[in-house]
Amino acid sequence: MHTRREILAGSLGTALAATACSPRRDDRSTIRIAMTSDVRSLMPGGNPDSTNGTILQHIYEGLVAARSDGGVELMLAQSVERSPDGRTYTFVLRNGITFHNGQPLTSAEVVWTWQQFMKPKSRWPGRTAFNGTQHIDLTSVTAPDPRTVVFTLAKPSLVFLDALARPDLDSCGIAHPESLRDGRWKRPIGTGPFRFDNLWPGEATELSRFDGYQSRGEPTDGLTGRKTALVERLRFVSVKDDASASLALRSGDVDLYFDAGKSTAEDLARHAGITVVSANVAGTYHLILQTDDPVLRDPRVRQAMNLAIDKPRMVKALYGEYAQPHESFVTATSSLYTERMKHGLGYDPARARRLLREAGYAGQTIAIQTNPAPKDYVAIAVILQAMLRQVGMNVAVQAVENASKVANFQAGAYQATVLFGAPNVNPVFWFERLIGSKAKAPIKVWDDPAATALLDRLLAAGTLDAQRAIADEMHALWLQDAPMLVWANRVTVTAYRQNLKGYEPWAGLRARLWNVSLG
Amino acid sequence: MPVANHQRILLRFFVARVAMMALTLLLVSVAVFLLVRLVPGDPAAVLLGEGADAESIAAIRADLGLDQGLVVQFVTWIGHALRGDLGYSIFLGEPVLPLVLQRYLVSAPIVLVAVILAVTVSVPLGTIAAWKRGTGVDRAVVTGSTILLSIPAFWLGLLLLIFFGLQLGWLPVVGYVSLRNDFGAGILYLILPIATLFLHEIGVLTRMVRASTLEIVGLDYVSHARAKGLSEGAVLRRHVFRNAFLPTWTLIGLVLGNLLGGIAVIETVFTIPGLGRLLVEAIFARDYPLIQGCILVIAASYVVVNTIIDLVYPLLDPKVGLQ
Repeated sequence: MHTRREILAGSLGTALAATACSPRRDDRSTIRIAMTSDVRSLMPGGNPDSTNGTILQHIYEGLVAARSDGGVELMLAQSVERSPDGRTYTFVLRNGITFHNGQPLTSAEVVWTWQQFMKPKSRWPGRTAFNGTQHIDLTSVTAPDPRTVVFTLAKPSLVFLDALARPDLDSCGIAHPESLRDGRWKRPIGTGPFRFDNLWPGEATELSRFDGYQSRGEPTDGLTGRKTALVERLRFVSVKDDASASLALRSGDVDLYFDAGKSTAEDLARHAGITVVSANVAGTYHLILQTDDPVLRDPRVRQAMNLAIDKPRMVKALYGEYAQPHESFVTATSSLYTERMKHGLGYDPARARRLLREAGYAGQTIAIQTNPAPKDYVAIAVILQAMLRQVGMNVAVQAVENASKVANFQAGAYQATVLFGAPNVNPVFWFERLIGSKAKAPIKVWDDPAATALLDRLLAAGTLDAQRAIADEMHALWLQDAPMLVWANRVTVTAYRQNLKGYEPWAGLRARLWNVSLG
Repeated sequence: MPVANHQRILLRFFVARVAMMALTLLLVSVAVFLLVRLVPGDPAAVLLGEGADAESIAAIRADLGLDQGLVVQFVTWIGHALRGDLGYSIFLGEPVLPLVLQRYLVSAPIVLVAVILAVTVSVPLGTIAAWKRGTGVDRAVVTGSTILLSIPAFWLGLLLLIFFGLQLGWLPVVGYVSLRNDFGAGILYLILPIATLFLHEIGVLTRMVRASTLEIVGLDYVSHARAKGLSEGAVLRRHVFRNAFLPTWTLIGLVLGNLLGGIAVIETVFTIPGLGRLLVEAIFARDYPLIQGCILVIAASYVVVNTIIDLVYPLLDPKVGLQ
């Protein structure tokens, strides 16, 4: 005989289970993705954060898009022609493309979008990639007819299309002017396979399938090729806490936990019904060394630091089986990665000590800046500290909050800093970020005229073979200068429930949910 | 005391309190304005990412008015604030005041319900424990409240998530539904965060009530009341409870004030889009207008709650006047 209390408890449990569980376990039309941060901008390329990009790359598409190896394919453009002088690129748009609001895509929207990008008030992070600050100086974007767009540059550039395709700028996605309300990006309207439905700040962002989407027919590669929305909705849930995200995945509240850390992924992999996948990303795990610092100015000290690090041991400790040791600044995912780049300075503590003696290193403190979260950032600094101490270096770890660390980096106010930027599938833009004069821009890492000359040659190289040969030379120079300490190619580890079909991580990091279904 | 005189004192008390509140908020706004700018880091730099060059950062700083002198920035901000305009969030691009109030209305019900429940349970619990000092009941209450007090709120929250969300599957693990959109579903998402806060605050309040009651039951007038032949219940109700409750009442004000702006950890664990999380995110992003707006609202609620606590004091203890 059940008591009244037992009956009441049972009824409450059943009622709660029925109301709370039915939407999350029976709903096969919505993929729910746990993301660690919120949407910060609804403008294409408006924020380099991977959560922002993951969401916006489903809404917007650019004229061209990037493959996993950094190559470029057409997307909204049917064709592109480069003028003989290399200064003009003429795009013809595909027929029949419509925006999510039903309006047809014409050259007018392309011109309008680029006007927004290049307005200083827009605060578009990609503006300096096109305004002559770096290699490309875009002087005009014009629309001679509704299907033709002409981009004119001040000087020729062989990497203009690559810049347009940059995933960290959301492929310079083309937006409809109605995306802007009261001068703000409130309701993004693009041409991608999913349309924006709702944003609840701090909570979730929801997209729904765009039935009018015109997919390309080529095989999917990176952000290029065929894209089919196989589910009705995508719901990106903002879950800041790692433990909560893991529990949500195990309970079925979310279907995919994007870019989970190594220890979380290892734990999740032990649970039935959870699949963990990983892939190399177009970036490296590294320590940036300040080559202007009185102690680190001598390249022998920097080489010694590289030689003091047992990379395989460090990689095993930090990333388990998910990552492999890697010693080049050229990422393993890039088309410029060659056999020579598999060989770095290696691990040689005896040589490290000798180099330190020759450089006159006398135990001066070297501070490694890192940030307390995510937790592996501190682990990185502590492991580096331990290994560097073994060759007699006096290393301190400074854990500062991320915004302070970034500000210090931008001002050049650091000795060594653990800082990884957004992945660049095309390594040329990574090289552009690294190489240059610190006097002009303190954010530059590798300040060597020889490296700058090699970068200029690379930017002017017409063939992949020529680019690879130059990249090999850069790698050799890199080992001498040692402005950074690289120990692994960056990886992304994602966990998902086994009913999710077709998900693949890729070099561009940001989760792709087209061609993905719920079984 | 004549009624007119009493009303005059009450009015004077109110005016003094409101003036004090305005002064407190002004001081808080000055302090916050200066402190957020002393912290290293730049909103323009965070906005553009670590690869941004100095020229772009400078352009955005100028656009945000951050290139102006501190005094000019403060006068501009306080001028707008006095007209109810706390500016725009740098990152979210939304007006600060509605944003902050919207998030406040998410956090406040959680805190209020949890604290009301905690008071309802802990006051009788603490009183009984003190009354039955040294017995098994007292030991059980002290042990239970100490355990609840010792468990960090985030850990308690995770334990509840594991048990009710994962093991039993009764309640959702992540997500949030506004009560205005769907009251029934919204309640389900609030049960665990409220339960976590409730359990944690029970520990604090029960110990406080027990300690205050113990202090009172040892006094002579309580023995005298017993000697007069009053029943134990009457002694407890008439002579002990009212006096013992005063320190607890003060603590309730402090707890409420603290929690109304400070449940960021609970909000993070349960993915609640509340004010605490908004403030933490604003700090990480160096979103100056948003940080200032959040802290101003938190400070205002702290001051209002404690003013109400002070106003109720004379009702609980006639010895406390409206000085």
